[in-house]
Amino acid sequence: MEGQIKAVNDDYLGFGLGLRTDHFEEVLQTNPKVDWFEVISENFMVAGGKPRYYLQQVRERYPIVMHGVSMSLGSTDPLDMDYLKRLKSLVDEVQPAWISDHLCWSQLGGVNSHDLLPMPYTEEALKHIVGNIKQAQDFLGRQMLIENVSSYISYRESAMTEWEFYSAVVEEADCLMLLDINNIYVSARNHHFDAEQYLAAINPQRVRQMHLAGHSDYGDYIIDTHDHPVVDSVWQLYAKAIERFGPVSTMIERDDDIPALSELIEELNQARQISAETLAGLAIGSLADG
Amino acid sequence: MANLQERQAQMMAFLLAGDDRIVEHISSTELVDGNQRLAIYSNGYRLRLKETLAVDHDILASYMGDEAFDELCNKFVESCPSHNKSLRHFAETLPEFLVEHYAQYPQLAELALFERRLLFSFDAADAEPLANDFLQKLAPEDWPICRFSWHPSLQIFDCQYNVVPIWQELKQEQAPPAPLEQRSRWAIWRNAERLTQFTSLMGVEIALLQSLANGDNLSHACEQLLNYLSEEEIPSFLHSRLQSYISNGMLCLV
Repeated sequence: MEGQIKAVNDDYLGFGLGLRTDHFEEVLQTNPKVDWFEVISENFMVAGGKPRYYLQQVRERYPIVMHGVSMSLGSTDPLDMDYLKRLKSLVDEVQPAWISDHLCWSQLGGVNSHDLLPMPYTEEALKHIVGNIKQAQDFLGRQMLIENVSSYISYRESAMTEWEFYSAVVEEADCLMLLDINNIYVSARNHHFDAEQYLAAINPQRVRQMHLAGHSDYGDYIIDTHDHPVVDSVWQLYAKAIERFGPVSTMIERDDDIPALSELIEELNQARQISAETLAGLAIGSLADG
Repeated sequence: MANLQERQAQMMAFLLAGDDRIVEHISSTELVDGNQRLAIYSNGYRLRLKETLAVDHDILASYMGDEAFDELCNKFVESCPSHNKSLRHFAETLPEFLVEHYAQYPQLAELALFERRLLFSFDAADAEPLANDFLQKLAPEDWPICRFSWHPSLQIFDCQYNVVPIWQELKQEQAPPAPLEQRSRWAIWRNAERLTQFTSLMGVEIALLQSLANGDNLSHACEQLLNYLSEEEIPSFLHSRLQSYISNGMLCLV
């Protein structure tokens, strides 16, 4: 049990928030009690101006991790080397604790869907995306974190579960996991699988970061909208994840209807509390077992 | 690769054009069939691109009104798929699209172009602008050979209609003036506080700025100004304009 309570990696950052334009100035003025910030890489892959200025300023005060949304690792288009070069240049400048992107594809034939489209879970798709992740990691000179996406469709030809596919990808590409707890919940509801079974199949040694977010529940299906607070069911799943993986750097994503920074910090403190209580419970259990 | 490539092509064809060959490859659940599940993606695709247009071109949207702007968005999204990883560039061809498809309202393309120029200046490359007292410290013998470059965010916007007053009134949530054919030229740039600014320019100023952009030193720039001003008028004009450009953060050293 003790091995589960201790962070499985040396890069534990604590509890972070997504750095959003609405909060740039307040972050600099008030130095809020946030352990780190995650930035959307593409929002800062611009030549200069306010975005780059605020990124530099925040970087001087907080650890930063970079989260990409458009590497399109699963696409049958070749990897966009110009994009990777610009990303590498930003990585060199920001020196983030780590960088991440998604287990998905976004563009084909040079046309971009600007969405995180799910892969069919086949051997062919596995081999393809593993090759692209390896190529990206080689070019960037570092291990990447790969995030599971929310999905609303499943392909008839899928021959394995999402967690089997995801686990195989990270093992074969030797990358790490950014486990999005909300996405697991959303996909579990949409595809009628057991979210805890998903967690149980994940190798704790690969999990480096977790995302939490809100979604829109339409009854028969859920859409990952990042415009609501985290719901109770996702908090419960987060507690289960902490129980299994121990302390993992956790952040809350909010991309729409962005509330006051204080409100997000309050939500982040809820994550701190759930994590602390879960770990304390495990420690007591561990003592009792001992 | 054949299957994966084919499936991705089918999915993209569905998103872009509603081609339904992908449907037979998507599982249904008891509650939601494959078509409904796929519609989440196609609705999201259009919504995302339309939101981008509305954010980047909020003043154009105000000018056109909700219904006409929504119609424009629908046409543009259908005709112009995104070829860039960043949504920041999605609407770059909107001014050309308006020239082609809304020729009877030529002010629309110019208004859209003005908004795009503002966006460009917002996150153009950084460069150290000249200090406010640069000219005071410039030795008299250095004036003729001194050269400047534009701040990377500086652009000249040349329009045939009164789109800047239209933009200004709408920005203040006031009724815009009627469209008028009225040629004007504007400098758009990002100042030292990283705020985007614009100011109208006289023809002689365009000549001066173009000369500086071409790498001319001040001596050569003065020769250009002789086409507009008498020799006596040039020194005071040059000093006042340069000081204004420098104070506004528009110029850098070469």
